[in-house]
Order: sequence, then structure tokens, then C-alpha cells
Amino acid sequence: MSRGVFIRGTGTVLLRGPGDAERLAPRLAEAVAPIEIPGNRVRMVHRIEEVAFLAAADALAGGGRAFPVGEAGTGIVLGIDEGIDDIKADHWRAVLAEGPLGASPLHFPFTAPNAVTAQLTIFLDLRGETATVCGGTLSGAEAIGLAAASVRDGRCDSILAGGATSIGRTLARGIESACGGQAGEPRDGAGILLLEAEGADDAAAEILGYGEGRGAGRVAAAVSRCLAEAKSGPGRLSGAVCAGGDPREIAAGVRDAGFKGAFSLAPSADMHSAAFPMTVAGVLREPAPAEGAFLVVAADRLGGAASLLVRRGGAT
Amino acid sequence: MIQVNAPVLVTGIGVVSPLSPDGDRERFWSSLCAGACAVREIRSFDASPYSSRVAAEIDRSAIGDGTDPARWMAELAFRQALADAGFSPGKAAECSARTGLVVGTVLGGIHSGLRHLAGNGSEQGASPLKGYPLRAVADGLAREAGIEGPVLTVSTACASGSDAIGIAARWIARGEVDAAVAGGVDALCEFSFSGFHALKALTQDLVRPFSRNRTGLALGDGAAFLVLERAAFARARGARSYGAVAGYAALADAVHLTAPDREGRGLSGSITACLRDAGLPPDAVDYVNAHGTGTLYNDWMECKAIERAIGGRGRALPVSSIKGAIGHTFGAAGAIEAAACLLAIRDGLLPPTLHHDEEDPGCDIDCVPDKARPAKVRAALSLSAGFGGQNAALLLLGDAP
Repeated sequence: MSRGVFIRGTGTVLLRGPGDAERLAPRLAEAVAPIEIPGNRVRMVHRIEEVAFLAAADALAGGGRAFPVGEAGTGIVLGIDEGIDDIKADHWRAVLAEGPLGASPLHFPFTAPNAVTAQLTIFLDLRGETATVCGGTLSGAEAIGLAAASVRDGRCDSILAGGATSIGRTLARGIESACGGQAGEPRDGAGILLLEAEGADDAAAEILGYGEGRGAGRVAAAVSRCLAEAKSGPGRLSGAVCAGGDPREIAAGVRDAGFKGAFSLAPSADMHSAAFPMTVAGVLREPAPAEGAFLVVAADRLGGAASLLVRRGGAT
Repeated sequence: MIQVNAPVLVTGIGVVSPLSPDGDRERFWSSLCAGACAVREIRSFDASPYSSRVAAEIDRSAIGDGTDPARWMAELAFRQALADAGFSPGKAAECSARTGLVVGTVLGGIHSGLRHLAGNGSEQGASPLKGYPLRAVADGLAREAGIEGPVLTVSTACASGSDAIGIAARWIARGEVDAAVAGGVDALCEFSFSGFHALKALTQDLVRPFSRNRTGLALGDGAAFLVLERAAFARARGARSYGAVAGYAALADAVHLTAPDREGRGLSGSITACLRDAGLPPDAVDYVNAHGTGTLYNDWMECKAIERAIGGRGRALPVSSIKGAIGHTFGAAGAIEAAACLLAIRDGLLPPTLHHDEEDPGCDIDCVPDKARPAKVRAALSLSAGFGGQNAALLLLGDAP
């Protein structure tokens, strides 16, 4: 079975300062209002949950889906980077300070990388395929690639996919620094897409292909694999967007793969695992040529690259 | 022997566990089936402040100072799996661009991060953190083996190892790669031990899956990797096979962050979807390797899930858990248990559930208590369930003659 994969809704949340975080609170209160969890309540302990939840809620709303969803057919694949590691740091510092009594049974479960994904499944009642991937900067792209494959292969009809990040305090910034990057300013963000199977004639876009590459020539390899899945050539492309990594390397890589058109850098390119889905959503919101497909490409500092080929519009 | 239609064969296995610290899968398997138990007093850190002080550890003296134990275990299991599959040392496959890697882990290189935090925790002292990100293990293995296909780190709590294998099998089935190495790793550390202690999930002596007097889980060290190949690719190079990954599914409970769905709906849904994926009816399953943590709610939930999905076979279907022997190895658990299923198929031998002292009416299964049992196994189901209502089911099938 091979089906079309359509983007029905997108959600993005970007916080770059205290003012942004304050503006988040009323949106969050409004979004969680319809949620009823028997014997429980919506409780979010970290900013990364809040941004991921809002992005997911927006993506569902954009696709005309009410939540809680409550269907076995809707799943989620989320990319998480080092953004959760400040939660781990809090747990461990408390144990160092107070021994066994420092470990909180309420806080510890949030040190699991899949806790953010799990919270979304609970709040939105998503009982379909679920996974959390942790590929650093590329994890948002990897999540979209896995989710799109699940829809294409007929394993699910509808799935949320994207990434969330929270680059805040010491540990996460230390990792950025250790891996050769610039720690930059604290920031939180999430980008999530709602993907559905063919038949979606009012969709925002269609995902035609996805590919990854490693080592020398990784960008060109990722683009070539992406085009191969799409059974497409570079001549059909209307543009290419860099969603993270060195723009010069990525520009050279997409040209090596045969692309000759316009190349641009997304403003959210420093948003780690959220960057890729935020870039896809951003391009779909811009006025653009009606024809042709565009590439979103990213590379990381550890030898990987990913590429997604997207065509605007629904089923043709 | 039945014919295998599934296109994904397993051609190599490497298991590092307290029963096989050298990565020797045969030592792991023979010790497991002999009823060896690796759960004992913790030596790798001072557990005296805790009310529970047991785990299933690998002797850390074999691991050099400054070496991250998860990285060490992963490298050993990875190399053993490649060697078992007949690939050249240091080279995952001669077709590196058509070879992928999926690593499941919950903690990754956590020891590197803990060392950083125990110091001043500043960005200036960040160099140990290079080995800390969850993806660092996969990146290191991919570099070592020259893998240039897709490389993925999946972190789905205690289902990570199963999900890694399932995702890699899908890559091969979709034609994205010809071969993939997939598995999981996690190392015991005080970080996770303190958390599970706070959750009151740890046993104070032994792990007794499905037994009425069970008192909780024991954490453990472990890593396991399988080499998966497209059947035609494996046969063309003359590789021998342990069997096939014939089905996989991973559905969410969507109920609670730490507790499983009491009725096992997410896991039973995963079993049903997995069997559908494999094109097999429920009565084709000959053996279930359960998640079987030895906690009250997991074991009840799991028995209900099996009954719900496979139903009506009661004690006619053997269901065992190996966590009484090697503890709960987190991200490695699903991969080690998939390896156990394949070895059970190969040898016609079911690994036992240790320390099964009392029947639990809520666990009305044949749990293969205490002694390994000869049995013909064609189709084995390996189950995982974890924090966040994360479930996974893998269907392993005997290879064609």
C-alpha cells in the first residue's frame, strides 16, 4: 500500500523572551479548557510541554479536528532534542543535595524523553502510533519522515508530527557549547504538522518525499533520496529553504543534487528540533508561486542531513 | 518449519547483559535458560541510603575510567552482532549508504551528564557533555561502522529497544535500506535508580514476575543489537538467519504518565496491529516474551492485554518474562527480549520466569516457572510497555529452511 500524505494543519509556537512567555498563559488556559481527564487534571511542569501542546492543538484545529481526539487511528511522532535536559538536571541536583528524599515521584517521570509526547497523547487523547525520536537538531525532520511513512504505508490515517525544544539553562546550553554551537539566547518553541492520508482535497500541502544522508555529500544524498521517493526531478522545484545548519553547505548540497532555483534561510533555523517543522509551516503560510514543489533541508553538526519535498495544495 | 513471507531477516545478534558481559549471545542464552539470576547488591554506586539496594549490574571494572558505560556496552553488543552476521570488523555493510542504524535508549550517555552536573555545571566545563546527548551513542556507532544510511535514536521509555527494531524493519520493508542494525542500550545509574525508588517501584530482593508476592522491579545494565537484512540481500550474500521480524506496532495508552491502562487496551491494540502487520491470526502465536517487570500493575495489565488480543487460550499459551534474571534494562529490554525470542525459536526452548513463588489469580497464565521448557516455537511475540503509556509488540517468526 502506498498512499498520498497531506498536511492538513500546522501549529507553531515560538518564545524568545519573558514577554512571549506571559502571552502564552491565556492561550494555554483557553486550549486546555475542553479537556477532561477522569480522575486527573491537565498539569504541565515545563515550558516545552506548553509549547508542544499549543502547537499540536493549533495543528488539529487547522485540520478541522476537535480534541480530545479519542480515536485509535490518530497518532503522534515527536522530535525532542536536549531541550528536556534541564528537567534532568533539576532531578539530579536535588538527589545530590538531599539524597533519596530529593527525588520527586512527581518530577522524575518528566525526565523520560518521551514524557512530552506522552502528555500530548493524554491531553489530546491520541491512541494511535506513537514515538519519540531524539536526533538533536534533525529530530523534528526525522519525526515527520517516520510519521509520513506510517500514513503512506496505511498504518494510520492521521498523525501529528514535529518537534519541540527548550534551550534555557545550564545543561542544555552546555551541550550546545560542547557540540560546537553557539548557545545563544534562551528560547522555547514547537512546530507540529497534522498529516493525513489521501482524499484530503482541501489540504494545505502534500508531502511527496523525505530523505536523509550522512557523511560526505550528506545534503546532496538526502535531497536525492527525497526526490527518489517522490519519483521527481530537481527541475520541478520552485524553491529550497534551509531549516538549520550551515546555509552555504546546504546551498552547495542542493545544487549538487541538481537544483538551480531560489534558496532561502528560514528565520526559525536556530530552533533545534522545532526548526524543521516550523520552517515547513512558515513556508506554507507565505504567499508563493502556485506551481511546483519546494524543498526543506537541514543539516546538523554531527554529520546528518534531512530533506522534505512538499507541494502546496490538496489532492489533485 | 513454516515458510516465511516477511522480507526482513535477522542475521546477527549481540547481547551484553550481566549474564554475558562479553557480548556473547550463547553465554547469555545458556545462562538464562539455566536459571541464572544476576540481581544482587549494587556495587557501582553507594546505594546504602536507599531502602532498595539491588540491581542487575555488569562488573564495571571491565570498563575504563572515564568511559561511558552505555557507550561501552553498546559498542560491544553492536560489534558482536555485526560479527555474528558475517560483516567485516569495523564495517557495518559493504553497502554503507544502503545500511541504517536505529538505537533505542532512555538515558543515553547519562553518566557523562551526571559527571558534568556533579562539577560546577558551567558551560566552560562542558566537554564531558559531548557524550551525553541521547543521539551520541548512535552517532558514535555509525561513525565506527561507516554507516551512511539513515541513523535514528528513538526514546520511547521501556519500549525503546522494541521500537528501534520495528522501525528498522519498516525501513527495510519499504526499500529504504538493504540492511540495518537495530537495538537498545541503557546503563544502571543512581539518576534513574533514585527516581524509581521515589516511585516505590523497586524490589528489595528479587524480581518475581507474575507471582502473587511480587514486590517490584530491579534495574539492570544491558545492550543488544540485531542485524536486520532484506531477505533477498541476506540470501544473496549467503547469510544464515535466526528468523524474521514479521510484524510490529506501537500504540499509545493515552491514559497516564507512569501507570499503565488498567485494562491493557494500548498493549492489546499493539498486539492486534502487530499480528495484522504480520498477516497472522492470534492462534499462530506459540510463545509470548512478556514485558513482565514484576510490578503489580504492569503484570496484571499485561495478562489482560494478552487475553484481550489473543484471547481464549489461557494456559495453552506460554508467556514468560526474563526480568527475574537480568532485571529491567530500560532501552535495551525490548532488544534483549527480541533476541531471546529468536534464540527460543532456534533452539525450541522457552526461557523461564524466575522466582515464581505464588500463583496470582490476576495473572492466570502459563509463565514457564523457574525452569526452561522445550517447545516448538514458530511465531514468538515480544511485548514492551513503558512510561507514558508507550506500548510495542514485535512478531518474530522462524526462518524458512
